[in-house]
Amino acid sequence: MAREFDHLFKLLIIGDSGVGKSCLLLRFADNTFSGSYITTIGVDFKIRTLEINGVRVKLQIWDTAGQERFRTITSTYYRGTHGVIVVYDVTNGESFANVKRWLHEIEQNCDVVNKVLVGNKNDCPSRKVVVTEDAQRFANQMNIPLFETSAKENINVEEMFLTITKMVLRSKLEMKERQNVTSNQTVNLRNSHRTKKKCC
Amino acid sequence: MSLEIIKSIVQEKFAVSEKVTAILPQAKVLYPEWEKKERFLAIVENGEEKAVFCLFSSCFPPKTFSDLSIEIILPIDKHFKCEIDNKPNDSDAVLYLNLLSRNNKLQFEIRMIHSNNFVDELFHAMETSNKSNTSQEFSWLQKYNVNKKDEDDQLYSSSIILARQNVTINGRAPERESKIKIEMLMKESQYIYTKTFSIFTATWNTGREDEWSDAVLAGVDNRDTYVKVGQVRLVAAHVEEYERRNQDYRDICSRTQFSRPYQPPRGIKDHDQIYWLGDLNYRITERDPATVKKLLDENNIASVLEWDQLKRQHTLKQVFAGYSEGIITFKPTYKYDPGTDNWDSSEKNRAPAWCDRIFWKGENITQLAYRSHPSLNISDHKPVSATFHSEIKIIDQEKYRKVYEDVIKKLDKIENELIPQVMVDQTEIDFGTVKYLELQIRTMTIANTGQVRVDFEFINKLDETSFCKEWLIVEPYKKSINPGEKCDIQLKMLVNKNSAPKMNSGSDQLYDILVLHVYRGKDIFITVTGNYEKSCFGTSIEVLVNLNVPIKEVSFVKLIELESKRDQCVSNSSTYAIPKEIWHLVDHIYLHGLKEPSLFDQPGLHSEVLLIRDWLDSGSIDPIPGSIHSVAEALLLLLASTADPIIPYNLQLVCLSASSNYLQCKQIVMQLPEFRRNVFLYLCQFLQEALQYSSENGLDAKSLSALFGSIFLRDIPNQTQMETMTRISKQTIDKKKAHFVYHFLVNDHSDLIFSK
Repeated sequence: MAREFDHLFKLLIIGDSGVGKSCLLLRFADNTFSGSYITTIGVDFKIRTLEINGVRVKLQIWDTAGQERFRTITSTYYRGTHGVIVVYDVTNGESFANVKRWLHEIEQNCDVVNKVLVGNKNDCPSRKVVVTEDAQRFANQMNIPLFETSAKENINVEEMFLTITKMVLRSKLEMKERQNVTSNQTVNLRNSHRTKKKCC
Repeated sequence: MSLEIIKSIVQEKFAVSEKVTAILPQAKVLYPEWEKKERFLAIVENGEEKAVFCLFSSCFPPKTFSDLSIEIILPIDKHFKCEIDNKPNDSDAVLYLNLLSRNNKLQFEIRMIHSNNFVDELFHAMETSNKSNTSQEFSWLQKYNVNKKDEDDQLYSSSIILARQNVTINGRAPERESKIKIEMLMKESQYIYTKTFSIFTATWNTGREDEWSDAVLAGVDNRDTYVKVGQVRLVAAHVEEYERRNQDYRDICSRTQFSRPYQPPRGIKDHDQIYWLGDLNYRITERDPATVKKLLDENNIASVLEWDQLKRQHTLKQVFAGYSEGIITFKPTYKYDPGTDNWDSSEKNRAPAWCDRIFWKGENITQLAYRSHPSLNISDHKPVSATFHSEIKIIDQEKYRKVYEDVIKKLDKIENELIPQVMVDQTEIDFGTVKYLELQIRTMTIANTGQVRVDFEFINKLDETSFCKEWLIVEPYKKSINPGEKCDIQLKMLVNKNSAPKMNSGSDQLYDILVLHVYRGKDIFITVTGNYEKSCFGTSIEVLVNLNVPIKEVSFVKLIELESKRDQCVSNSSTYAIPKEIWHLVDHIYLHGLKEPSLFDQPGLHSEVLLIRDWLDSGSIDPIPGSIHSVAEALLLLLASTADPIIPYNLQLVCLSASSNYLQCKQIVMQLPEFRRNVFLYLCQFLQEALQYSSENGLDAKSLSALFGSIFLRDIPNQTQMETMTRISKQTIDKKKAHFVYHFLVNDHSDLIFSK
């Protein structure tokens, strides 16, 4: 029977206001970029379907408002998320410093979730203030893959989304496998239980 | 529902200039492999041009034209072809209808009972189209294709027009899946190329099949792989039994199934190219063997062929309908004396016949040779062979992938465009200064900027029981908006006796974030703010007695502090006995309104009440504005709005049970918090005074005690709980409240005042 996708994953993009969360999404979902800045006041989503090793994955990617005053409300959208993309702006040191807070936010609101760290606006070396080495060191420390992207120049965007999707897919498949193992054990237990009864 | 009525509903789907000439209900799409839901086929005429529309109906029969959606459009042009087939096994009721347009093929399963008129119309339309000399534009079809601007699509030129609005979203998987199939079909030319193959076919009834296949295998190119397929002989060997052979053919057609892994098996007819060869056993009839042999000796093959059963049955479409056979230029291949080229010399003396034949079916096949091989003579049959050139479509996997990805991206794009979209004209709504009991209204506009209907609703934030604070009203809070339309939302802010105490105590402020949720779409956060202007309304009595300046001059911080400590408030040299605001209002009535008719009965003017509020809050030196009735109303509102009721909630139950006993009531009053007892006694004293002028002001103790009873003994916020607790009705409670107050309006209670 026809099927539209094998997996549906929810991804969430978070990070300070103005780091380019919506632009990353627009680039990935519509392959467009708009220079004019429109603050996201709320949460919005787009979909995109990918095929990874023959497995069809439908992504529902949620873009959130980065403004501080919405933090309590946006945290409620973390529920049921499979992967989180934490974005900072390589030309804005504060947005990088705030990554810790965003990671903490994930910890507070999600169970186990895959994460990637994204330094966006990586298209103007003269304005870059968050050096790759620092970001990489932090990412290693946190054990999160780092991507330096440019939604504007379409650098590394596809790769980044592909990576987080693969991570989520792998986790999902591993979990499934574990469940299979557990269910096998259940059967075994039952069997042994039955044998016991016979013995009595 | 009759076909005519359905037709008229289908007609409504089209423009006036577009006439539906025939419809065919319940057509199942078989190819491309699709959702096997039933469709409608309609022939639509616009001037000289006609097209076949495939429509999907959300219900059967459709109730209105809006139930129908156009899925595929095939213009009936010179490239349009139509084939009709019996469905094997079920020759009586079901037909296969193949529609071909250039390289695109659609197959439907249709019911014969519906088909007559439609098929006639279809063939008629094809005839007209083929005869037509005018160039066919089919420009009227373009409006059904919203996607025509996509330059990479060339939708029209590929002949199948995919109506876009049907690529629906949200998990209607089969729908999307079939769109992918159709899109891929339309783009076939981008990833498919044709390669010419040489095909050699041969048949030889030797009676010794193994030997024959060994010989074949030895003869073929050993660099390739070959598959030996089953061998079939149409067995009815007798001369006259061509009808049985026809039946054998039909049986083979219907029964042969080629199994495929994980997919339904294919029948013979499901293939693009078919080669059919073998000893088919058809004979030559109506001519005696001698005549036949004589004609053959004269090399007059053509005249003998006229009596060939197979040729005749083929012409009558009784067998091999749709197949082709090359021109026979060789002598009959049967029956010879084995080892010779001599006709059968046995007793049976069989007439020569072309038993061994090769047919083919499919496009892009060219026969290069069709011959027999008389020198091979070990059998009573001579072998027959044919060679072909066949153009086979081959998928370029890499290009296919690329096209597939593009199709997916395009469908994703459409799906994204079909997410309900809204825009709001403002996300921050500032109400400015907001005063007690003064309604403020702001309007925001939600516009549907997407392509589909929007259903919006303001939704609760996590752990909250309503979507906005109590001082805000949003109308409408949910609604549907059609594409291109707007909806005005009124936001009404009103701080009343319930919310004002919270503002004063700092437990709430005029700040809220509303979540505007679009069903299946985004959420927008609307921030609502306002500056509440402090007022004596909503402030607790204990705080008011502490304020010897107008409340407007007190800072919010100070007010919050006083409110937080109001339980510990005791009289001292700087506190008033009762709030000055109450005193002002009572004193004004006492001085100017004791004889006012309908005192406490006639309502005041809301605008005057607001002026009185400002007068009290700012401590104006002007006289109190407004009529006596407005002042009286302001007094009632002020008493009703204090943060705590005059008689605390925890004493209410005792009051009610003591209401028939004046002595007990007096004892309760003695237990009231100091300032509230002051207010209670002060007001009762004043009301006794007012009752003395009942002939002028129309007051009576009963109705007055009912009025003040409900104010002094304020309804407990969760009144129903109270009702169940005491098992008495609201009516009885109110009666008891009035009773309680009544004692203090008719009895002398100066002892209480002096006891203080």
